[in-house]
Amino acid sequence: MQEKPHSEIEISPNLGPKVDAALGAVGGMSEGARNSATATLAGAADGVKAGGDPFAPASVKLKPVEPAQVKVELIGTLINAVLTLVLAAGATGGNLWWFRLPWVHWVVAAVASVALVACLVEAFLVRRRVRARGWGLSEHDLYIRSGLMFKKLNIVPLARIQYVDVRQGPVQRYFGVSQVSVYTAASGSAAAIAGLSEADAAWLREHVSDQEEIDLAGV
Amino acid sequence: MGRDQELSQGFADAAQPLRGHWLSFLVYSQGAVRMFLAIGVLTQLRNLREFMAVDTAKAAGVLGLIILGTFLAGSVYGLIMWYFARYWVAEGALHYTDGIVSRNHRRVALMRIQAIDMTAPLLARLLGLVEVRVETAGSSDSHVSLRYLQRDAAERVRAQLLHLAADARLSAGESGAGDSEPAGQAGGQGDRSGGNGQAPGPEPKAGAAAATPTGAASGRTQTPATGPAPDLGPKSNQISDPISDPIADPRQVQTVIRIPATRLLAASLLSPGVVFVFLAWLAVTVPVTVALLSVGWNFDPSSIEFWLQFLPQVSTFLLPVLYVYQTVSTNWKLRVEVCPDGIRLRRGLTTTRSQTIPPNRIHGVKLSQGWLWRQFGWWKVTLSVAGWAMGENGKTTSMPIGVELVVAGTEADALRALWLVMPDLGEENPGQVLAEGMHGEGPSPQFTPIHEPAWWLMPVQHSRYGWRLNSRVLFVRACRFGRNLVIVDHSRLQEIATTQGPLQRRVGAVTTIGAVVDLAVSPTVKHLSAAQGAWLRDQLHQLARNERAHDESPRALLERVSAAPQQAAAAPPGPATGVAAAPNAAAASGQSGTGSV
Repeated sequence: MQEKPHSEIEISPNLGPKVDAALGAVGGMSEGARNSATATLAGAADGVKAGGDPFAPASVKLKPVEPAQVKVELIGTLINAVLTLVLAAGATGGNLWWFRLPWVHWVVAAVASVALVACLVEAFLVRRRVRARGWGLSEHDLYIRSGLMFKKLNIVPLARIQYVDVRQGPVQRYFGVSQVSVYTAASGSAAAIAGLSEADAAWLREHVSDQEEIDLAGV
Repeated sequence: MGRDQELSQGFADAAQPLRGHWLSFLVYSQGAVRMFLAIGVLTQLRNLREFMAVDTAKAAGVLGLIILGTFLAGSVYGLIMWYFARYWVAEGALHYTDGIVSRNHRRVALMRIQAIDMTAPLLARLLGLVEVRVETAGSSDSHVSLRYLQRDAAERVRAQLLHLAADARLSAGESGAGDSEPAGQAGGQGDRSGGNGQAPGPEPKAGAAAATPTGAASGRTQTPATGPAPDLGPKSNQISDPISDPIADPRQVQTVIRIPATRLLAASLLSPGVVFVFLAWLAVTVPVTVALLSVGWNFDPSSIEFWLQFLPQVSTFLLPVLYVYQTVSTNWKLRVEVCPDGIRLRRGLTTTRSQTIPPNRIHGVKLSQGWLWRQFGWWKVTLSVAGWAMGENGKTTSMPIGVELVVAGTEADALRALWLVMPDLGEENPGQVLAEGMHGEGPSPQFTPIHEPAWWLMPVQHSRYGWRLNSRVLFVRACRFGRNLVIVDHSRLQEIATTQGPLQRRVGAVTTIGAVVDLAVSPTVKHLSAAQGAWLRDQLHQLARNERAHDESPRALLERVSAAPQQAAAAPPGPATGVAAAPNAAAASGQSGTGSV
């Protein structure tokens, strides 16, 4: 990925006193649990190293999604813009025809221009947003990163996945990309990633809820 | 589209996509017909009225045409829906695809099947068709509906899927033998004790089957494939209804917590919503009344207007009254009992409702109190429980959002309830941590505060907000005026995420979210520093994975039990040998497993 690392995030190189406090909290556990747990807690530098990007897990390299997804989302934005214009025209025409209220066209114009500006901003951001996405499969987990303004890195243990959905709208089909959603038992949860190639989507669908993977997680 | 592509005989061995019964299109078309009819009648209303005035027969003809067209269009829609909805079983999973314009493909691993229900909407029932709902754990959409099958075909498909699911669980193994306990009870498998008491030597498979997560495996050993399958999943995870529960023995029930009715009433009157609405009501009613009186009120009790002017005030006043009534009547005579099935909760004014919560399905606890409750030391204890609520007829309904175990309990009640559901908090000195978590404010040695530069993102509660992680649970304390302490067993986390909004990015803060089954208790820690957030996320992730690794998969269990007789042959018989140890270990794993969800 060409996207530069998120340099805005300031991270002190050492973890600082607060994490030490947290480690101290970990120290205060029952005798039996301590041996195993402190070992676990100390050795769990699996993901982000201190000073690293919290949205770039160290254990797995995230793959970007297909660049074609940019076109898919641009077309979606375009459709939204056209729909806005059609609606605005319809409202203005309807007003002229039946109601003839003097102020309606101002309201319509205001609403439509806000919507169009939103579409423009959207079109401007689409490329970066799609590039910010990434996914990766480690031995035990599925990693999904998304979001530009609101960043999110989701870690879904394969052992927790209940079912998988692959969706493909008409535009997506034209460009050969799909969306994969992964569901766990957590209500309202859906870790989704849009813009995978059809092959990747099918592979992910078959592998994230694969028996072997589930078994691995249970061992 | 021959009938060989229908699901009438169940899933074929070859992964051939199959459809529902062809008459299903009628059920599919139902909604479309209704919509088209509405559109047709509405758009032609004016014409119809004109025709009606001139010629009634013509009007009736037009109406008939609308209905016919609607039916045809709806049928085409239904046929398309039916034709493109296809189901097949391949590589250990049930697949479902639909859609022409947008295509959807759902894959459900067979071992994830929790329940298979049959339902029939009215029209389907008239046509002799039923819907087979294959449920997994999750939210409302977490199922695949096989729509629609004739009843006998549905029974066949259901039995077949149950067996496939049981096979899949046995052959692959699922991280959660914890389901076995409730399944054994609720499914009414009478041989449960036999399964444990028998030496595994003569029939290791029966013992193993009884301990698998579902009732299906046991059902498989008992009923042949063609017979009606036993009720599998819905009961395996249920918060069971003890009326249908054969094991409840009154002698073994012990009441642990009681909430007196007066305190309940007072507490619900003092809940923040009620007080707020009441104050708002006063703030509106008093000035209005004064104003009306000062301008000379029209006192005429015989006129309707006189009474109507009270309507808004009365109805606003009714809201909190209804809320209080609701709270009081649901929680009337609330008592928490401990019985062999788990923790039983009885309450209710008009109808006494009881819920039994299997102890190893509790994923999180929230202790909370509003500001007014705090003055009296009253607490509410909410549980996050994995499972389903069961309807009267044994049908699966939606997930319960938060079981309120204690409402308006004293602090001792709350602590006792916590101890009941989470006996081990993983702390050397749990009392101190709990005291700090429940009452503490400001810096504390036990709790890590939010990232300092992010304080303005949490202007009110930042002085109290804090978290604490140990090897068993995650504590999050929150709220400034009220009190809120969330304790989550992190081995039950379903997903873990880190998020960061634009404001957080400015101060280098992140939020770490853990998702548990039930939204009522949410282990979300806001505004950590980026490094802490990543650390916490990785800790939770690692701890949860280690916990899961301790679970024994059904396959591992089967292997262990199968290996036991050989050990027994080598060693002299005795209580400490493998023969006796194996079933006990099996039972123990049933007790302590993390469950499938």
